[in-house]
Amino acid sequence: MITACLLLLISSVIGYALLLIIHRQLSVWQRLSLSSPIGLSLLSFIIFIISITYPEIYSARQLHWLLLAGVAVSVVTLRVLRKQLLADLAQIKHIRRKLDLERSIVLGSIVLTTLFVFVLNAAWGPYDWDVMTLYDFRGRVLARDHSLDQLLDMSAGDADRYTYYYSYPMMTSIVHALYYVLGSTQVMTFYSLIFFSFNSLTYLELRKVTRHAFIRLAIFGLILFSPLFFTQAQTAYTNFPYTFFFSFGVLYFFEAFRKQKTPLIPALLIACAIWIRYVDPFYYIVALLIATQALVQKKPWFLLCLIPILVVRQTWAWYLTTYVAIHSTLIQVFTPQSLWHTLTQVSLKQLADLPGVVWFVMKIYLQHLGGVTAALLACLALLSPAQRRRYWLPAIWFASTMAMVMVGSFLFSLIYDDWSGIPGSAERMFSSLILILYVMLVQGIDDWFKKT
Amino acid sequence: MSSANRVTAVVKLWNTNWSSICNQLFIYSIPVAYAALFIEALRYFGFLKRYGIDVSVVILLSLALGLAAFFSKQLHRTVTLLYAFLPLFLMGTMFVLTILSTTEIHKGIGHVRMEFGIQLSTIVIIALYTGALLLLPIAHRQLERLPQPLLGKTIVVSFLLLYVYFFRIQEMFDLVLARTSRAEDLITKTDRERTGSLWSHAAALLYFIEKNTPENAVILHPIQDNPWPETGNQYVVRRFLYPRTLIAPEWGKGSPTHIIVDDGSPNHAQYADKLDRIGWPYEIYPSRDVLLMDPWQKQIKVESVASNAENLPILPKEAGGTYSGELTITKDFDTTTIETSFTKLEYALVTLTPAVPLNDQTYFKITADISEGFATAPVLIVTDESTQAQYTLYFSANDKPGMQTMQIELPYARLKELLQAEKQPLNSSYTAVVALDVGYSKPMPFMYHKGLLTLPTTINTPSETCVLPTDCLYQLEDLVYQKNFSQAELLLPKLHALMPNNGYFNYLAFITLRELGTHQDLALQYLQQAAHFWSVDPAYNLPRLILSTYDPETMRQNNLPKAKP
Repeated sequence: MITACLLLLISSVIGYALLLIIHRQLSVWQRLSLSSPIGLSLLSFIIFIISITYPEIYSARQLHWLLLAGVAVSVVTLRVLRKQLLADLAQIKHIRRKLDLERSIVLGSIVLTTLFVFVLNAAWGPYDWDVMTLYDFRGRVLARDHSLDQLLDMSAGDADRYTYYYSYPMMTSIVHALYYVLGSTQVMTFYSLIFFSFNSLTYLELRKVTRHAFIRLAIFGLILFSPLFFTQAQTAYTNFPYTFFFSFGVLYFFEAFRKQKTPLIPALLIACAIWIRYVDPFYYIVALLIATQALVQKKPWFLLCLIPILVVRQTWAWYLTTYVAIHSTLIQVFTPQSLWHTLTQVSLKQLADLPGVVWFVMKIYLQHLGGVTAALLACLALLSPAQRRRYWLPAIWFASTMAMVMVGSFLFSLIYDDWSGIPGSAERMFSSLILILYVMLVQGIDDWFKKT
Repeated sequence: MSSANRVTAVVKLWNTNWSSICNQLFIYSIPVAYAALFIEALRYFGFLKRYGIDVSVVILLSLALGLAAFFSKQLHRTVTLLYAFLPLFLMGTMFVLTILSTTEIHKGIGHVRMEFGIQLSTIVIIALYTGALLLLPIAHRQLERLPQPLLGKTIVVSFLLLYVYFFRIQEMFDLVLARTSRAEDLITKTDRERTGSLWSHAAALLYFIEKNTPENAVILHPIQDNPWPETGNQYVVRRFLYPRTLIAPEWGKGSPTHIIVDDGSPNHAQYADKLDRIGWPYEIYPSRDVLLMDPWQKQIKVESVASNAENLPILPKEAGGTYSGELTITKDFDTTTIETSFTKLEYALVTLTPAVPLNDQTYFKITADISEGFATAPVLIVTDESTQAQYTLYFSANDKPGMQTMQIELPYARLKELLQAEKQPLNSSYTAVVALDVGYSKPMPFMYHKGLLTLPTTINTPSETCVLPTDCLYQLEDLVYQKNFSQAELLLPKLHALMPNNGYFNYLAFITLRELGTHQDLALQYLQQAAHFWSVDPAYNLPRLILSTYDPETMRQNNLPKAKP
C-alpha cells in the first residue's frame, strides 16, 4: 500500500510540474486534482514509447531510475517556476479561511466517499471479466515478460486473433504494470484516485457555472452518489478513467472557446482519453471543434494544441499497423480504416437494419440519460433566445456525438452478430456524456433563474 | 345550486380557508405516506403501483402539502405535536436501519428479506421521508428569503431533485450493501486468494492446473460453451495459466501434453439443456497420469419420506432387505433401483417408495441431505391402475446443499393437468411411486471430477479435432465422401459413444467398415442399427433398403458386397 501511495505521489509531482508549465490559469485545486491522473498518463506513454525499442524499461531497476528522473525534472521545473509554486502553496495554506459550510460539506463528503471506495477497492481488487483477461492481465504480462510478444504469438489461434489484446491502448495496463513491478498489488488505488479527482473537479466546475449553492450542492450530490460512477470507480475497466479525461476535456474546451483561450488543457485531456480508449471516435469531434475555434477566433496557433491528440493517436495507430503486424500476417486490427472499409461495403439490406440499431441505442440512452436530457431541454426551452445562444457549441458537440454513436453502433452491428447482447457496453459508452450533460443542466437552471 | 356556482363556492372556500385545508391535508397525508411505505417495505418497492399508487408521488405530494402548510403561517396544533415526535421516530428508524444493515452485511445479501420479510431499501426511503419532513421548516425559512420570481422556480427544481434523490439513494444503498457485505471477507486475503474467492468456479481448478503443469505445457481445455463459461474461455484460462500454450476446438489446434478435466459443476443445474456435453473430456485418453482434485462423491442421504399414506417405508437398499432408517445413494447406482426408462434426459431416478394410492388428498414430503453442486428434484411415477399407463410428474428441483425438505403438494391436481394437456381421460384409480431425480447419470468418464490428465505422448487423431457430437458427425460425413475410410474409422468409437442411436451415424459407420472390408460383422450391426434408428424419412429407409438387398447367404459369410466404384 505504501508503494502504491508513493507511486501516486510521484505521478502527482510530475503531473503538477507539467500543468504548471503549460497552463498557469488553472486554479491550484484544479491543478492538484488533475496532477496525478495526468502524471500517470504521461509516465505510461513515455514508458510505452521507450519499451518499443527497449523492453527492459519494465524492469524494476529501470523503472526506479525513470521515476527518479521524472521527480528530478519536476523538482527543477518547480524550482524555476517557484513564484507560481509559492502562490499555490499560499492558497493551500489559507484553505481554512475559505472553508465555509458549503465547501466543508463538499470536501467532507468527497473525502469520506473516496475513503470508502478506497477501502472497497483494496478489498475487492481487480476482478471483473475483461479486467482479469485484458487490462490487468496485460499489466501482469508486462511486469513478468517486459513485453507482450509471447502473448501476441500465443493469441494467433484465438477466435478473434490479436484484436482482443490490442483492442485498447496500453495506458491502464502500463499503470498496472508499474504497480506490479514496484511490488504492489493495490492497482485499484489508481481508480480511487480518479474517483477523488473526478468529484473534486466536478464541484469546481459546478461552482463556475452557477451562483446558487443549493442547485450546486444538489446536483453535485447526484453525481457523487451516482451508482454508475460509484460502480465504475470500483472496477478496473477503462470507462471511468476515459470518462474522467474526456468529460473534463470537453467541458474545458467549452470554457476555452467561450473565453477565447488556448485549448491546450482540453487537447491534453482528450489525448489522455485516446491513450485509454482509441476506438471511441468522439475525439474527432473535439479535434474538429478545436480547429474550428482556431479559424473562427482567427488564432491559427491554436491548431498547435492538436499536437498531443495527433501524437497519441498516430503513435498507437502506427504501433498497431507496424509493430504488431510484424508478428503475423493474419492480423485484423480494429482500426478506423477498417471501420471505414466496412462502412463502404454496407449493402441496402444492411442499411434497412439501421432504424433497429438506432432504436436500440436510443432506448439505452433514454433509460440512463433520458431524465437529465429532458430536464436540460425543458430548461433550454424556458430560456430567452439571447440566453440560448451560448448553448450552440455544446449543442453542435452533442448532436455530432450522438450521430457518431448511431453510426458507430450500426458499424458495430455489422461486425458483431451479437451486438445487441452487450447493452452494458453501450451504457458505459454513454457514461462519458453524463457529467457534461449535468454541468450543462446546472448552467441551464442558473440561466433560467437569471431570467426575469 | 348549479355546477358553476358550486365551483365558485369551492374556490371561495379554498381562498378563505386554504391554510386550514393545507394543514388538514398535510396531517392526513403523513399516515397515508407512511402506510404506503410500510406496505411496500413488507412487500417490495413498487408493489402499490399495481393498484395505481406511486409511493414516490404520494411522498412528494405530502411534502408539497407540508410546505404549503408552513407557508400558510397558521400551523395546526397536530402538526406542531407531530414535529415533536418526528425526530424520535427518525432516530428509531435509523437505529433499526443500522442494525438490519449490519446484519445484512454480516449474514449476506437477502438475509433480512428472508428472515424478517423486510425490504431494507424501503426503510431507507422511510428515513428519507422523515428527514425531509423535518427539513420542511428549514426549507420554508430559506425559501421565504428568496425574491418572489425565484421562489416558484426553486420549489419546482427542488421537488424534481427530491424525486430523483429518493430513487438514487435507494439504489446506492443496495449497491453499497452488496459491495460491503463481501469486502469484510475479502480485505484480509492476498491477491491470489481474492481471485480464487471471486472466481471460485474456475480459479480452484486453474490454480490446481497451474501448480501441476510446467510452463511449456500444451493444455487442452473445454470447449467455449456451457457448462464451461469460464474454463471454456481461453482468455480466462490464459489469465491463470500464462505462459502455457492453450488449445481447444475453436481456439487453435495442436497436440496437447495435458488435458483439463472439468465436469462443469456447479453449472449443471443451470445448463440442464446441455446434458449431452457435461463432463470434459468426452473420452478416455491414454493418460500417463491422472490428477483429480479432491474427488467427491455425489451423495444424497434420504432421511425420511412422509406422506398421508400409512407407514410409507423407504425402499431398502438391497431388494428384499429391511428398512434400516436411512438410504445412502453413492455414485455407484448399481444397488439402487434406477428407472431410466421414464426419463427424457436420462437422469437417474432413484425410487424411494413402493406404490401408494394417489388421490386428491395425497401429499408427500421428502427430507434429504443433498451434496453441494447437485440439483435434486422429487418425481412421481404415476400408474393408471385400469390401463397400466404410466406418467412421470417432475417437481421443482432443489439445488441447495445440506438437509432439504421437498414437498410434493397437490400431486393429484398436477396429474389432472397433465392428463388434460395430453387429452387423456381421468380414470378412477391411480398409484404413485415417489422417486428422486438425483442429477445426471450420463456415463461420461469424467463426471463429477475436476483435475488434470497428463498424456504420455502427443496424440493427433482426427477425433481430437472434433468435440461436439454434430461436429464429429459432419467430420465423419466429409471423410466418407472423400473416401478416406481409414481416417473415418478412427472416429467411429468416439461417435459410437456420443450418439449410438443416431441412424445417420450408424449408416456412415456401416459404409466405412464395408468399404474397408474389415469387421464385417460390426458393419452389419451398424447397418441393422441404422435401419432401426433411421429417422430422416420413414417412407424411404435407406439402410433398410440396403439390408433387404443383401443375400442372406452372403451375410452369413460375413462378407458384405462392396459398393461399386
